[in-house]
Amino acid sequence: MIYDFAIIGSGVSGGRMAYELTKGGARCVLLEAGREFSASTFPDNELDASAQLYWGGGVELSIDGHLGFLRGKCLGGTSVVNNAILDRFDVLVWDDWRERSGAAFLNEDDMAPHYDACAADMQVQSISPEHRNRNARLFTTAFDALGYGWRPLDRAQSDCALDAGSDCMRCLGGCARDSKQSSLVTTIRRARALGLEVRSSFEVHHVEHRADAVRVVGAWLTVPATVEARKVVLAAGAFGNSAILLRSPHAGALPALGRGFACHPQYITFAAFDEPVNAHKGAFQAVKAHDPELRAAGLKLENVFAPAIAAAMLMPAIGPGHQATMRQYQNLSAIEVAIRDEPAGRIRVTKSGRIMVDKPLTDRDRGRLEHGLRVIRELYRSVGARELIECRQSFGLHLMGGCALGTNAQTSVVTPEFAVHGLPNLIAADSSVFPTAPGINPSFTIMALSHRAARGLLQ
Amino acid sequence: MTDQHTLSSRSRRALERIGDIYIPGDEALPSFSALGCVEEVGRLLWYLPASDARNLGTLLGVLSCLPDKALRAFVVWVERSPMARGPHASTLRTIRIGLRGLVMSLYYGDPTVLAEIGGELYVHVGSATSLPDH
Repeated sequence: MIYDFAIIGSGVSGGRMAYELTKGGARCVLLEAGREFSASTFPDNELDASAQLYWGGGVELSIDGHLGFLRGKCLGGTSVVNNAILDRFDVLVWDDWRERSGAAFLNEDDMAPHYDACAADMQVQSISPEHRNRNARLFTTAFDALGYGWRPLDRAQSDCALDAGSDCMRCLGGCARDSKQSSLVTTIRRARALGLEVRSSFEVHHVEHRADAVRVVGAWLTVPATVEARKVVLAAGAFGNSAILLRSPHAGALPALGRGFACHPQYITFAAFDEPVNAHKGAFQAVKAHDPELRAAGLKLENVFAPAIAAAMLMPAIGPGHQATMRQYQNLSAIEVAIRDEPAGRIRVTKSGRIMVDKPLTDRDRGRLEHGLRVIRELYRSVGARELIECRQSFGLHLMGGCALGTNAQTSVVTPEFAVHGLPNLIAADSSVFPTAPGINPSFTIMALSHRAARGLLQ
Repeated sequence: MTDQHTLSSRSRRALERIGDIYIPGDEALPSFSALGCVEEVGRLLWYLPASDARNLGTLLGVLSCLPDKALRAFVVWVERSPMARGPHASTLRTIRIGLRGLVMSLYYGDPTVLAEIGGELYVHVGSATSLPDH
């Protein structure tokens, strides 16, 4: 059996591509390395969710150990474990990307219909002012006090039952009520109804490109397996796509492969207050910074918090001091700075095929980090925080690049038509094709790029 | 370590001793070893890449040979690694994340500890308009 399309990876891009292509009449198979869960089978606690839903049993580290990377490993990919934030890119990103890539369509007007089409397929909501928890209110009060702009976040969610006491943070381990509009409950569900085949626990090792088809080589439920398709969509993210291509016979013809990796390194600052904040309760992450000065400075300040295990991991102390801090968990607030980092990282694979990621922070990155931490100190000072706890362990949740889009085959991997240079039956339109870090949540744009790529393939 | 999904009794004891350095217990919360959460370690080991699980077993085996003072000095040393430079810094940072990950996951993943610090999370399942069941 030769499929029209085999899609590797089931996150935001893979789900969208699978839906659009299946809807267009193509015979498609979706391959996902992780297991399939549902609202009723997601782990109900942080320990099991972290171990079972993420690559590496929870976290993967950069070569130097400075950065931890989080990426979903389950049907629906990272869209199952992210916070469903929908942001459109601004002119700052599009101008940068167009200049670097030579791709004329990378502009607000050409991308608008793709954003609109994806938004029309989902429930999009904002957290109402009465549902903002104290962590969000501290964020907005501090921003107002210092004159920074902010706005409510657009979130892909349908029915979080906040009045019934739901704590959205639990949904970082999968949404137990199918409110989060992950690809699992939107695009994949609809594509299955149209005939999409899904193979979970199928881990792809490499691909073999021929003139008329592509052979996908991997293991299904740990048993060696292959799939043949006329075209293959690489939707396994920056790490997955880069690694699959690096392990493939064609890697030598792609000089930019694995280069240009960026991840919006995130640093969280906790602030202790005398009164309970209960930042982990209710609507988690309701608002965001929306300020031209911060944007121009490459800073993304976020209204976030961390569940107990993650918070304990991030707290810098050990012993009685650490335990005392954790005992005041309910009195903690948090703001995070994610920096718009330079694409100086590189993704490689070892001889055994294991992914290794080199992601040094540049001088500019470090300057942005220090700037962001200074702003957070001022913000918390303005609302009377008793103590600040700055965490120097950084995480990357937005894994981007490695297969950059562009017209030049020496400096990019994927063409503006989303085909790999010289390998026209291999397609990619996910975060791996980002030429640089946008400094904006990437999910919505991954959907929009994938929508555009699928429409192009169907024509 | 007997296989990828279990720790030898010696490695478990080493993990408990390391856990007690991170979490010695206080008037409100038990120490890591007193909680007994090391019994749950298989829930984490099962999902670790095989090579990581092997390396962890080897590390705990070596650390089990250290006396208490030396073990504490080792933990303090790896805890300084986020700011460290030099040829061993990346290895120390990796060890730090591995040990911290195990200890904090097992301890703060325990329902009694979560309840004590008020860190429990709830999601209402069913109609949004039905009465909450807690």
